[in-house]
Amino acid sequence: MSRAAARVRSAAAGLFALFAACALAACTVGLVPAYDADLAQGLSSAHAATLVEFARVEEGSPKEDYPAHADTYAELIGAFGELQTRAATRPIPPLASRLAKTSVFRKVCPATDDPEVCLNATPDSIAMVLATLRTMRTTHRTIGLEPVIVEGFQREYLTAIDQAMTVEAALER
Amino acid sequence: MMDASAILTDLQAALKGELGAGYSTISSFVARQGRLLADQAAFIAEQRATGALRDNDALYEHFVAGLKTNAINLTHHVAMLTALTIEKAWNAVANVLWGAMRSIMSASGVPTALLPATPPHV
Repeated sequence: MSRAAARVRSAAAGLFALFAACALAACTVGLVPAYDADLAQGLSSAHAATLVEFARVEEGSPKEDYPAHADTYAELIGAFGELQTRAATRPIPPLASRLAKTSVFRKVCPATDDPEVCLNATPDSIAMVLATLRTMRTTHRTIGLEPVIVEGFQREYLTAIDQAMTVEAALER
Repeated sequence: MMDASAILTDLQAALKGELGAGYSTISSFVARQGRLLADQAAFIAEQRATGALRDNDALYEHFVAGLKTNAINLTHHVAMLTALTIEKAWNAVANVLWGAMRSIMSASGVPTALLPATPPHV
């Protein structure tokens, strides 16, 4: 009897410890999405392929040469499109979603329409990458690419991809 | 058995490590992005004034809109990295306190099976 009572007391003490620790230490929390290795690797691979395409046209490319590049544009746009969908559809931790609706968070996050973009910013940066590649493709097809215009597209692209890759790498914790 | 000062020392070390790493990540990211955005802006201004964008309004507008979007997105990424730093700092504190609680409770005879290795996650 006394042995059973001791076990009950131990169990009760353990449960108390769980609740006490949770109250005192709080529990661990998730405020941003989990690390997605496939997304990070996909960004890295698509980035490498995009840099190769920039290298192919960096000395300029007339519109007559566009057909030789059409498949590459399609592959890059398709790859980044898939990555954007993957990033946009991943879950945001429930606690973070609730916090995003508070007035305090809205002061921290400059996005007034949808504060959750500050908890998952990568899709918007990939959208910028897609806008760059699509405009570059249209320019290539209609008037050709001067070297200096390629430089402009590359600068715009590098800023956007740096944002996405930096944050995705930081999520590995 | 752990005492309060040992727990406090561990807490300070954990917080210092996470906040320092988070600040370093954000600081280098902002500095790098600042250079990239400044280069983008300089390129647009120069090419609009005397270069390839002087007579191409459509491309000029695309590059200006792209600069604006990249700048707005940067603020969202900084906010996200800040949230990540807060998360890591909070969790570091929670883990230290949980470890101390486990150590104390285990020494008091509470079966270790009742004390998970990691604190609950919400």
